[in-house]
Amino acid sequence: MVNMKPNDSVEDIARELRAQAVRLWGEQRASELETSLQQTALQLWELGQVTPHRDLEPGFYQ
Amino acid sequence: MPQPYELTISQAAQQINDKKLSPVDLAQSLLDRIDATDKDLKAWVTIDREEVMTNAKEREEEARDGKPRGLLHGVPVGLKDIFYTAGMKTAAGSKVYADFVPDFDATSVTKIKEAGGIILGKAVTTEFATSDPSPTYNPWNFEHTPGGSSSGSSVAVATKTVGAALGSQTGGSTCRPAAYNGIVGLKATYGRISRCGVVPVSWSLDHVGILVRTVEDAALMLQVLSGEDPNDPGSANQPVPNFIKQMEVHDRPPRIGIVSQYYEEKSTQEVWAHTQDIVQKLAAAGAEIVELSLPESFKTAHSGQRIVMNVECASFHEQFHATQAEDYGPRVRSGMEMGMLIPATKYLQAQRLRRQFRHDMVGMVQQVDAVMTPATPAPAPKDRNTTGDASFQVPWTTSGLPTVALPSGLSQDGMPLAVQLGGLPFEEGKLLGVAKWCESVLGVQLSPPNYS
Repeated sequence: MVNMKPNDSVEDIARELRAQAVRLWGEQRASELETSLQQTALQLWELGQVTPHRDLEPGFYQ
Repeated sequence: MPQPYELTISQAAQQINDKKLSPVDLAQSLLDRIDATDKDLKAWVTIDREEVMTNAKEREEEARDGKPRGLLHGVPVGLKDIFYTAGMKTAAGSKVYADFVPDFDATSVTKIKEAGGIILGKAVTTEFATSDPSPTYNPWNFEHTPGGSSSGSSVAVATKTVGAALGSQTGGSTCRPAAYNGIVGLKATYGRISRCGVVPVSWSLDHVGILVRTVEDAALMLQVLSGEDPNDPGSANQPVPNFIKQMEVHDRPPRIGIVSQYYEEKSTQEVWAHTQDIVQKLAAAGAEIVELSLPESFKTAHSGQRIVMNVECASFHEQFHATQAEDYGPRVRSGMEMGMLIPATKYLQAQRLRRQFRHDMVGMVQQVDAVMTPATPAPAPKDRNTTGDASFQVPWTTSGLPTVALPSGLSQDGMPLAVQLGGLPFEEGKLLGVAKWCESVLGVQLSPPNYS
């Protein structure tokens, strides 16, 4: 399971994602996914910069 | 006298209704056109000619007997190859679904048939409607991408092998290829058109898209396709108005919002200058132009969309991935694998922020009749290894608000340019009215020179 903390940097998140990718699919596949892992880490970091209002529920279907 | 294949669907429907056009002649004209063009363009994947002609003959007899079924009586429509068609292969552009033959029609397919429409065939999609490029060629220039993921549907409409085709949009897959091929694209409000029987990318983001050559045709298709569907959990319990009538009511000088923030920086100089020119022309014709500011929540709209899409895509494909991972294209596979890595808390965070964003977008759009931006940051890239840039569609897709892509001119190297209009949820009639007014003021009808 990917372990992320609120103050993690993009690099921290990418490291966590990569470690999980290695566990699931092995070192070679994780290396092939390097660019996607970096992009996903950045996306997760961007989301982590915003704290939703405590009463805000998910939308799912609009 | 135009050839039958040249008619818009509104013209064809009217002429069939007036008994001036035979559904058989129309269907044959389109099939001949496909035969003449598709060896090069690769827009179509499955066509059952015998079934098409059988249906055309039935519609002809019904028309002759004065018993039209509905708004599309005798008019052929194309389907992106992710729409379930009972008894006809729905391969979703993938080895994983290569032999999948559904045993029921998608709700939208049923609605087309009930309206008297004829399913002409299945158009090429990128694999599972994501971003691995399809084999389809852009008719404006074979070296440029046709866009995606509704590449076949867009090219088929642009080259007049069909007057209307269904696509889908999870990021930018309807309005972007519409823009790249010089046609009109409509993504209605999330929930307006049923997704039942459409191979999903991401349940909470997927929209059925409409690809046509005029705004009037977009309204006609929307009228046929709209409505609540108990088989789609995202379907909206909203009344279906008369969109064509509403469009006509709103076909007048509108109040248009423009957004420089983000869009100017992201666009090429040529695209931004072109859009400014379009805005000036509309203002000169009577539109009121208002500069708007993006909401604060815009800054996570793109990241959030990607997180939601990848996680939901991973959930749908998990069982296939376990045994057939090697059968997927590289981009769809890596996308779902990213989704498998994302913690549930982050997915839910993205959905919470998305709800806020939708609320904020409604607040922004409420100030005007429609918001206008460039449809894409640049014309179709000269690169067949990409489907292009969906970043101008994503905010509208993730917020579920309706948009229209409208052809607006040509770039210096002869590729189509387009603007995108966005409106309020479930106010497509008004949005189409604004689009129709813009269409008539601009007077731009694009047709690829080698396929006119």
